[in-house]
Amino acid sequence: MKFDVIIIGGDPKDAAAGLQYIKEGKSVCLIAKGGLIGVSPAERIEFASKGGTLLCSDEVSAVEWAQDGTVASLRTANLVGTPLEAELYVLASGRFVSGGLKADMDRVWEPLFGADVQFEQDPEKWCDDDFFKPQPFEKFGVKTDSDGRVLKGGKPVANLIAYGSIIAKQ
Amino acid sequence: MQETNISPANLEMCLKCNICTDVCPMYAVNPAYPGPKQAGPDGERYRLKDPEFFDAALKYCLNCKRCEVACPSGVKVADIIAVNRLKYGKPSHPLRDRMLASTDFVGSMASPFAPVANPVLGLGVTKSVMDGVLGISEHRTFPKYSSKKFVTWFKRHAAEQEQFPRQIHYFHGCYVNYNYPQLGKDFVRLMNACGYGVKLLEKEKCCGVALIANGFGDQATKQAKINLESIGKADTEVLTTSSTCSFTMRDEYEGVLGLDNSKQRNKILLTTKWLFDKIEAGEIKLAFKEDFKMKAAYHTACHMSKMGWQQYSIRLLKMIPGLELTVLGQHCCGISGTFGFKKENYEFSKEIGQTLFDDIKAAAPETVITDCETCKWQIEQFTKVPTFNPINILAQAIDFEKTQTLNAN
Amino acid sequence: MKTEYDVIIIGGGATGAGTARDCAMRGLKTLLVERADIADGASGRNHGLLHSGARYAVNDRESAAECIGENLILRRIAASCVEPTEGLFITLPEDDLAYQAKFVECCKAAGIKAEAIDPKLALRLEPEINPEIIGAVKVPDASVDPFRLVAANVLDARLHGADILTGWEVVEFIKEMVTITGVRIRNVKTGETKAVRAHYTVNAAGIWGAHIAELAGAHIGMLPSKGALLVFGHRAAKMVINRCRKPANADILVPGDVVSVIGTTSDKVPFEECDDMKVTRREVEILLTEGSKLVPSLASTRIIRAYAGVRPLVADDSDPSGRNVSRGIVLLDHSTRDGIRGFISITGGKLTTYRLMAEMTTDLICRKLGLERPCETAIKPLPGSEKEAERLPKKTWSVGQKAAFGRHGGLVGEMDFKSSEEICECEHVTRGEIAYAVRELGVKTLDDLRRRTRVGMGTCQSSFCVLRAAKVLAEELGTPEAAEQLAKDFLRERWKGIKPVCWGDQIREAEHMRNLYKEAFK
Repeated sequence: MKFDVIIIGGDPKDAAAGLQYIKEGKSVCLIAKGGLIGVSPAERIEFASKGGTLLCSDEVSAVEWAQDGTVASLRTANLVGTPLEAELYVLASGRFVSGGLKADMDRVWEPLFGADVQFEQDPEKWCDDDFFKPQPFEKFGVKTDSDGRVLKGGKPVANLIAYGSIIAKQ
Repeated sequence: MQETNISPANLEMCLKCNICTDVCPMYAVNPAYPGPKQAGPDGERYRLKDPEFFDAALKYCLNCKRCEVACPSGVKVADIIAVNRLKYGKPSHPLRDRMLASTDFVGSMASPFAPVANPVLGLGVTKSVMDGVLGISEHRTFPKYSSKKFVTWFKRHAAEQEQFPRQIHYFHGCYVNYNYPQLGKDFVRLMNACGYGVKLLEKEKCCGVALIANGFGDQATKQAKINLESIGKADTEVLTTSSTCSFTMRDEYEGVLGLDNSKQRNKILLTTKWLFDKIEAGEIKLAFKEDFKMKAAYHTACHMSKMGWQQYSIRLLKMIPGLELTVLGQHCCGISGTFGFKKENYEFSKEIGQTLFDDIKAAAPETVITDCETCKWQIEQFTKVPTFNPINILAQAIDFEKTQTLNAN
Repeated sequence: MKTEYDVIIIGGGATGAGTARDCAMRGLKTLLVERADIADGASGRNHGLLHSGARYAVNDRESAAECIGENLILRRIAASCVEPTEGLFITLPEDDLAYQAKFVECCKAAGIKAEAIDPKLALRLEPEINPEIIGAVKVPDASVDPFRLVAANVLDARLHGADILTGWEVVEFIKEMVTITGVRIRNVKTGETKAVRAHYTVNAAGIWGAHIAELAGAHIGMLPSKGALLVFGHRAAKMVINRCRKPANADILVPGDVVSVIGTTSDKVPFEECDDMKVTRREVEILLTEGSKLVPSLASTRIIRAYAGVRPLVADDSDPSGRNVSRGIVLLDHSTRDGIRGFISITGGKLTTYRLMAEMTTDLICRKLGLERPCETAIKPLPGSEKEAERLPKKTWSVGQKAAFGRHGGLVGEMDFKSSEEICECEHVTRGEIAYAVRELGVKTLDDLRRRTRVGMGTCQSSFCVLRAAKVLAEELGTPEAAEQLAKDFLRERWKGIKPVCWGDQIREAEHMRNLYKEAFK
């Protein structure tokens, strides 16, 4: 399946971003891990009726890379055997709750594209003692260049931009 | 360590967000049902401590898998419920549940007597006996039994199928075999147009979905093993025309029955998925009749949405130039296989489906299209709109000769 | 409440609660004073293991014998707090199998039924254990819920006439010459102070007993030893799993109600840290690495929390260097030891031997008071653990009612289950159970409520139920305006245990919790 834009996300903001692309006349595919919480049936129908494709309860299972370091296509768990291609890929998979970032005892990583991740090296400092203070882990995220393109190995991936809370904060 | 969290059915991934409960069609209409989070991961922690915590209200789960579709954490909520029902549940009405569950057994008994069985099953007096004695809702009409089984028809045509250079296996399922051979015939016709001859499996048993739903896990496992063995032996993919058969063999065999189907899983495909991929890869081409016209609405069955495969059916249908297609919002029809046939569930079943029925009325289509046979019964009963499988529609819409020519090599 | 008592007991842990019960049952006018809440110290921060004594059999036969004796008693009198899970001592390939033979022999000598079994049989009994094991011994270990155990003792003490004061701390001893005749106590919240008098004052304050003794003018050499533990989200194993070797880090896994607990570490800590123990990532790593040798699935089972308690190790009075630690129960009669009359300290020991410690203390008091009253705590069951409880009709109960039965035994009869609505869904806590806890079990905060009912102890660590629970608790307490503060305090408390394990799936829960509440209390 071919699209102009594939958004890997899953919350209402991502759906809204998708609709924006659609308004610009683009064909959009939104891959959401769960059932798109907070997006009403009416909004879904609007999205679909304007040519948007919603892949709910699905997730990216593999990424194929082109020789020039751009993303060539994606595979998802549900649509086995069907490559998904796009001009532009939007990484909007959120931080930890939605699995955009993963963490083990002393490391944080972005599981789909292996993007560069900014995080505190000393795990004892990931949290503040006080629950109600801003938590350092809430600043962790993928690194991007000034155009919002995701960095991988220090270099921007030309057709992959980051969107939303997965972007590292200062 | 702790990079991956491995717990049965991802029990421990639950963040307790309650989205599953929010989307559960049964929870919305039945206060006696504790909802998927409670019945699933919450209850499971306690059942692991002591099976005494099994709650009989788990019988209300429709197994529609909407909870799993909604879950942002990948918890197999409905699998947890289904596994526990098999382990600890007792049929509320053993004779009826056994009868409803044994789709192929009852089918094979009824088919030869179809001219008798159909009127008898439709008689008011029979219905009230079924209602009173068997607990089958008198508001329900059993799907009619065909007097000639699909398999009987197919055997007469098997030799010509072997003539095709390319071959594909077909898992017809009980519904095609006993109630609706036309769907099987349409499948064969469509495959033949695409240049494929059809083969049946060495042995085919009912996929077992009704056995699982009614608590007959051992029998379901027995049948599943036979199917897996046959599918394993098949030298091509195995196509179905039922979303539920596909889903059961792909996901429930492992998730609920605990069988290893990793070798067979990706061989079991819904015909629309297989066909779409072949068309995209340029291996198959379809040509459509110029005069085909139809106004239809597509209903995504719950198990279809669990697999995410409505994409394929919708995209294929949209290839038909003369088809004006409305894609309906994804609402459960409420029948959930044999669930809706039980007397105590009839009202729930109707109430759950109401949104869908209203949507269909608003869209006012000539036909409804869906990949699930039990959705078809429910929709036809409550909306009176004739309902078909995408394969029926494709078989009607293609220009057979032209398609055959396009795929001749 | 009265101002004159026979006995004042300082400390609402298992020992203090058990002593209060014993004293009250023997007809003494008894007051229990606790500065925080019952089971708030080491009594609520341990494995929840009812030792068979096997762990001590090789090195400390006396403790082992005490443990098995008490183990058998508590199975009877505290049936609703004890789950007879039984235990295994497993030998891994890297361990010395010769130790097992010695271990079995020592167990037998201490009166513990220890039975070496075929490792294959052990794997059938408990399929989750390390399949590489080369030896296994079955012992009568069990799981005990320390919160319930302490609460049941406190409840029974009260039923026998004792007064219970939580949220009051001892600030001063009242002395007449060389005799302690009472204590001055202060309400921790309001600062109000008052004097209460008694013939005898018992120091049962665990590690804080060192400070209490100083206040009384005595010195007890105590060495705080921190033990960190991890809680896993569900039962990873059905039995208590021990490592058959010289006791070391993280060698016991206990099924505690619906979770599993692995522990512990053992590190000396300064007294200043005892009030605010923090578990480090290093400790978590040790627990996880060692624990997954016992039960490999622990490496991939969700951790929901880490916590630490302080063992009150007591320096041996006979050793002037203070480095040697007394084993077993330490009962100090300060009149003979320090010339301070009317003052007794009870310390050392284990959760398993709390009742024996209470009996020894009460015996001493009775002897001093010249009373001949036999101890009945080994015969009379605790509230909720009476025989009749076993005959209750569980089949027709709601899940919430069944869960409450697991926590309170026969006391469920006093709860209202008309509404099956669950306030805490992870742990199936209903409003009726909360109302009962407030009415009968002395609850002031959500953390107190947690210790009585498991509210907020489940997978979500209260992120889903905290507001509901706070509202219901505030209503039951008759102070609806306090709900917000109750919720905030509880979230802060829960955060302490989440922070050390904030990675893997728990960082998801942590972020989720923050998303829900970071803006909620502005």
